[in-house]
Amino acid sequence: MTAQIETDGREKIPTPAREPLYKTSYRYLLRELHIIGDGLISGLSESLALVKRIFNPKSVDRAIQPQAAWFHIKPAQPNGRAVLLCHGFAATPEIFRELAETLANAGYYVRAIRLSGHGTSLGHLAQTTAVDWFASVVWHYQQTKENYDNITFVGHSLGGTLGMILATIYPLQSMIAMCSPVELDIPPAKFVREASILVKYWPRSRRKREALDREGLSSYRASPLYAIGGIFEATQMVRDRADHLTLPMLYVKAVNDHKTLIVQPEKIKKYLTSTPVTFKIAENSPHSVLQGPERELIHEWILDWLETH
Amino acid sequence: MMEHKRCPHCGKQLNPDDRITYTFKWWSTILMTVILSLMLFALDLVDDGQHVNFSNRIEWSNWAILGLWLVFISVQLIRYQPYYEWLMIPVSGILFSIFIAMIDRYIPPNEGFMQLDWAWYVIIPVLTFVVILPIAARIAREQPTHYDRLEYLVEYLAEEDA
Repeated sequence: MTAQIETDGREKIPTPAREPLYKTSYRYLLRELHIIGDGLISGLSESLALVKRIFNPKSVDRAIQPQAAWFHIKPAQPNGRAVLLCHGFAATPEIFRELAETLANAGYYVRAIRLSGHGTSLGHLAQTTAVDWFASVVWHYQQTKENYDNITFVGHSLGGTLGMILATIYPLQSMIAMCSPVELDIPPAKFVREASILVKYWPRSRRKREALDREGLSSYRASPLYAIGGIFEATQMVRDRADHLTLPMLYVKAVNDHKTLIVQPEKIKKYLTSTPVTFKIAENSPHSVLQGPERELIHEWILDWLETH
Repeated sequence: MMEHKRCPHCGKQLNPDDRITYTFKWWSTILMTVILSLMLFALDLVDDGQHVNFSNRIEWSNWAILGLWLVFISVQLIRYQPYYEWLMIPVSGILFSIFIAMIDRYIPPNEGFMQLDWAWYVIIPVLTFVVILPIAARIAREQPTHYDRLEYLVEYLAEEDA
């Protein structure tokens, strides 16, 4: 604002017209009400959410646990290749933190998928099935495909099985499956959904829970029986579409795995006949190979495989 | 370098660690129902029907509280088994019928069939529409299995990609 010099030598500074009092009061009143409203909403929102839970059967906790969200890492020196990482049943993308850093340092764009119903609440997981999990995988693949043509899929357990289904549809470069099932010989599992009427959640073993606590992972402490049925659907889909699976695959077997999963290499040889599969055996690892004692060896195997394929 | 989503409004990088989440303990809904029940109980104690007066008599809050807990139990049943709603909703319907019958038995003159006067006009439609029909419809329905849904999605994506 420039001051005007009048003829008598005094400086005159022009001032804007003053706002009427009623307008100022109205503006201040609105602002105060806005602040009070915000305060009330923030104070009551949780209580209202709780009251809603009394009356609304659909209100399941779908909030993603902070450490369980999907993540991606762009490398400092990209080599133009992408790696999709997919966790297993009742796990979260958190299990890939170390591997993702290793791959990103080697120049790969890394994207760790969070499957639907995982990393939220057990009640949410109980409402999801194989089709929801596979939809999550497809969404992340399509997002990655926008920027990268050369995509490799790395899946642990159920994640590997879903990756095999993905590979029957889309042209992946190669894939790595760790302890992934293709056929589970558990006859009573046919009735797992009927059993879930009486027992909804089956607790995981103490050894498994202790291992999760030791690693500080946010995985679930129990398994919803209804959702377990989805694993069998995914394996059924892999077997039905085995003819479409032709990409090179690395399969990592853990010796200390569940007895139904140890025999999976034989199942793969039986069903996936049109796929060249390379097998690696982790002698001292449990089912969670990426948290086992041989994690660094497995990271090396994955890096070697990515370099050669 | 770990990257997070960017807020479309303020442009800040969203850190998942700072996110507010609504995850409640298992007892939270029970606690809220208890609090609401106590509120109803307290209102009944201080209100004798005509004017506010501490009368020390329960007049209506027992039914309101029972009804609230009935809603809570029904909702928990459905939430516990969302895929078995067709079974859980009839169970809730039976509970509701028992609740209505209890109210009718409490109010005289109790001269009808099974000492119920007006409750049958509520119970019979509830048994028909909430108990029998959902089970019959579920049995009669040709419902696609979860595997059918997965197969449909996979085939659709395969055709789209081809």
